[in-house]
Amino acid sequence: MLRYTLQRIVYMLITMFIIATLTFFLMKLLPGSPLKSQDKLTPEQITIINEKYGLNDPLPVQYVHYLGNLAKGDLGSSFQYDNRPVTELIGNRIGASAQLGFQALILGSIVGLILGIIAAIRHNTIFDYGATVLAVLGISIPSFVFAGFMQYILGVKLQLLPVALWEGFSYTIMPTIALSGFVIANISRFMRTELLEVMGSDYIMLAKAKGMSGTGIIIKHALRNALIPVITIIGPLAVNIMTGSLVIEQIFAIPGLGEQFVKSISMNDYTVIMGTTIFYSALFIFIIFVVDILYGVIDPRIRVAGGKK
Amino acid sequence: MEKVLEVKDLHVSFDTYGGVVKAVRGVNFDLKKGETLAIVGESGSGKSVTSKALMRLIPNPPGRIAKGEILFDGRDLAKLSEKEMQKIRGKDIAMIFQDPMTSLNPTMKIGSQIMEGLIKHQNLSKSTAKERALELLRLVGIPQPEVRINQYPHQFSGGMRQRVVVAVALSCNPKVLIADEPTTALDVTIQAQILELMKDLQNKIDTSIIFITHDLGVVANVADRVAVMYGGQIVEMGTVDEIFYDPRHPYTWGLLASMPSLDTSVQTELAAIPGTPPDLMNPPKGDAFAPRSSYALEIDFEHEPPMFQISDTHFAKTWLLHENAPAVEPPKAVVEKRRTMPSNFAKPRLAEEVVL
Amino acid sequence: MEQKQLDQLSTDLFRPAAGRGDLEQIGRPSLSYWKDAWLRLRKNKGAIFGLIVVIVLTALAIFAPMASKNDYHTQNLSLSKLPPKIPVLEKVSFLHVDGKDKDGFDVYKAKNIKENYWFGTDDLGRDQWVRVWQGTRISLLIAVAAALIDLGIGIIYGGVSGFYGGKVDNIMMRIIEILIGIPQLILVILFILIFKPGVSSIILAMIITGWTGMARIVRGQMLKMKEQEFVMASKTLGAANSRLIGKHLIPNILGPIIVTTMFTVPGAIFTEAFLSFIGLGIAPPQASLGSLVNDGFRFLQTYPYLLIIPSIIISLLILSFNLLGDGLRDALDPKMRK
Repeated sequence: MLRYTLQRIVYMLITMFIIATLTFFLMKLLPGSPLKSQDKLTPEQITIINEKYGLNDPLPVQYVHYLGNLAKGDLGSSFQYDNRPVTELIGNRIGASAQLGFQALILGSIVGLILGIIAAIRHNTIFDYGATVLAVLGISIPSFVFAGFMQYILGVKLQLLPVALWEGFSYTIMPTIALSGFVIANISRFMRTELLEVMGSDYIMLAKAKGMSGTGIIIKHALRNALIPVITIIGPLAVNIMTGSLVIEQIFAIPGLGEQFVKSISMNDYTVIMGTTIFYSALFIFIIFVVDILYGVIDPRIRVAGGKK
Repeated sequence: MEKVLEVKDLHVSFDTYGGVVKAVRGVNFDLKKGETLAIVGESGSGKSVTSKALMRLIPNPPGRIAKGEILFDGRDLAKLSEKEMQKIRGKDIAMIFQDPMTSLNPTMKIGSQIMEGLIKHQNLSKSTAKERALELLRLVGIPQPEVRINQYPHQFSGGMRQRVVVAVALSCNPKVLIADEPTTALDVTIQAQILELMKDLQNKIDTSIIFITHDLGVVANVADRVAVMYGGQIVEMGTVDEIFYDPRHPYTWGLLASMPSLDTSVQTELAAIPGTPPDLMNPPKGDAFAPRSSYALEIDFEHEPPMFQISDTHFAKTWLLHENAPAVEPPKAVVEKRRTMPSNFAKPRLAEEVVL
Repeated sequence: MEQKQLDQLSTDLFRPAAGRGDLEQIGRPSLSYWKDAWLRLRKNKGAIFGLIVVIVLTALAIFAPMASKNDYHTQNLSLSKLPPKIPVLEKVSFLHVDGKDKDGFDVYKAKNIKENYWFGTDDLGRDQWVRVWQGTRISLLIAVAAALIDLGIGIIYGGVSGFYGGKVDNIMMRIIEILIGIPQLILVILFILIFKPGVSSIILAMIITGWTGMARIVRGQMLKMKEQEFVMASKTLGAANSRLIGKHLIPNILGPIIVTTMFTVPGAIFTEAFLSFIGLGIAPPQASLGSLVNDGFRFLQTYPYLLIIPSIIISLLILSFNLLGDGLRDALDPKMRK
């Protein structure tokens, strides 16, 4: 287990290094200087700014400088927002995004698990078919379409919920639901398959032969075994929620990290784009890593097999 | 001897999209106290389905007990509610499955899996159940039970796992133990150990065993009586001696002739039974084995044979025992071993309990 | 039957009759892999629905813009923001395709417009019917192109890796592992920032990481095939390599490949739409389904049809590909054969 964890950490660092390098050089490839849009600057001012940001240094020097700063957790400062450090910009925005993300992940997991369990236990009944149809729709309908329909029906037509903005819990309901649709669909589908497979296994038959009751078998034997593999898809789903929040925050005008990122793209605010990209990547990779390790901790087969080494 | 279990005219069907599969078609047998009954047959003969039906473990849908009685302790198991059945499973009737690698819950400690039944059926406290589990592990020959009890199945070898499954099955001293091919998935040496263990334990706790297998060699070792199944029916039943030394059904002949043994002479050819088992969605008219039998008679394709009785304990379902049937010579391997059975009747009679 | 009757059975019946039964009865005619798969696919209602919708939408995407006398880019401000009007269907009130705006005001009558705009017009007076199908065309083009190129790269990379195995395989798989570790979206965004948004740059951006999934599947199948006993068996029996590839390898690898490609397409349609939302999609006056939905949000409160129609089309398209993919996966998996 320890060896596995260390191996995963090394992989994680390599990937981060590659992403940082890639981001740096791709940004350098970008057409023109980041300052080009500010036409009002005199050539003298541009020289001063270039000097200040070290943009006149040779590329390798800039690169080493950049990596050094990165290791210190310095992502540079914005060209557009009064020179404020990117880390500060991220810090200001992360709250709303994190709340939205967690709400969506928790709602999606709970509803998804319940749907999946019902579908498996009531296999080949109307409940099962209903859950299956719901899952296909949830996977197919993009979150932004779902968000649009909710905004139109619940917000504009029925005026039940605020159409946009972020000023209280009621404002979080629609974006949370929009983001959790995909999670619900995936978890319920996966849970159903896993639980059906487990319910058909020999050890469930043996538990029945021991005289265990139906609900006892599901709770004590089936659920645990079916849940373990479901943990593996939580990582990718969390990543999916973060990706989706880029769009959902736009649609609902939520002051989150995603909205800021999209704005920085349209304003060519390169340091913010770069910093946020690296921040996102680190978060993605970290989530996948945590879920992987968690899986190892929960499954006794992996836990013990690793421990022996 | 006292009858523990009596099965009368058991029919089990599966409703599939293609039609109704009649997996078991009218099986009759009884099980006496302390005896071992082996049920033998090739895959698809209905032996496994029969054993699962006794425990009411046939998944429904698609499976169902279509007809018949399973009498145990004066009650018909076929008609009990699921709740009542749960009180019998594991306590009075226990089961061992074929594959020890998959029949233990991978995420549950061995100890908990043994204790589960004890807590449920004998109302033991956790600590007494644990004591009993340790005792059982010792009984089935697992070294260091104190350590092993807290381990997970993947830390056990196949043979050790089957020992655990045996311990689970025997935890509540069941009256009947159904062993569904318990040694098929194991190495030959381990097989022998598990068989030895089962015989040993049977003597200690006086259980009756139904032993399902396709391996006649195993049967000779463990069984008191043998039932041969073909196409969802019992085609021949008798004591081990009667089945091995005086078989009457052509299918049993085929099984025996295809089994090598140390005293089979080098000249004797091992004979395979040609063809495949019958399609139980549309069972053939008459004798289900006739299309594959080199001893088939015209009547086999017209009428299903009745059960004939050769001795008090020996039954066979074949027209060859009818007085008008021509005398036929069984395969060489069978003839070589044939012995006269002193308890045989002068000539085969129609078994009374069978009504055509 | 009584004992007596049993005695009276004709002795003729007791003549030996071995061999009368047909031993090698085969229950049903054997079917080729593809025929069998097609039979199973046909039984799957969802998959057939998906197949039909994909065909209809593709046909509309190809032919509708050609058949219309309007085009997707000509602006005519005097015709702007006309609500949808479809003859016949205009009488079905809940569809709201009667040419009246949300206050029930008949815009067509007021502006004296004879022509019917089935999906209405956008804020610049462009025919939305043509724009929606033009957008579908672009979305499909991007998705199918990305899926096919993924397929090509994946087969070659995975094939080489799986065929040679050993050290080559090891190195090639490490490369993939690192690529997979990089979030796809980040790469796509960086890529498009550099190479201005456009059909080809979007396709390329999707391919950069998209091919790895296919490569892993092809490699996995290759390795599995090499191990499999029936392949060893035919090798032992002296089957030629060409026969091995044709009879065993292709049917076993093709199934997963087709299914993966089927699922890549809706994923790519989604990614393209996503890019439109973060301002990196197709640039106007060109349109894709994603950019149309994105534009539609601006008029959510006033002209909801501009949002609703492309939203329905993109959902329907993704849904159909998913249903078809699910159906194909079930149909092409020979292990499911009963």
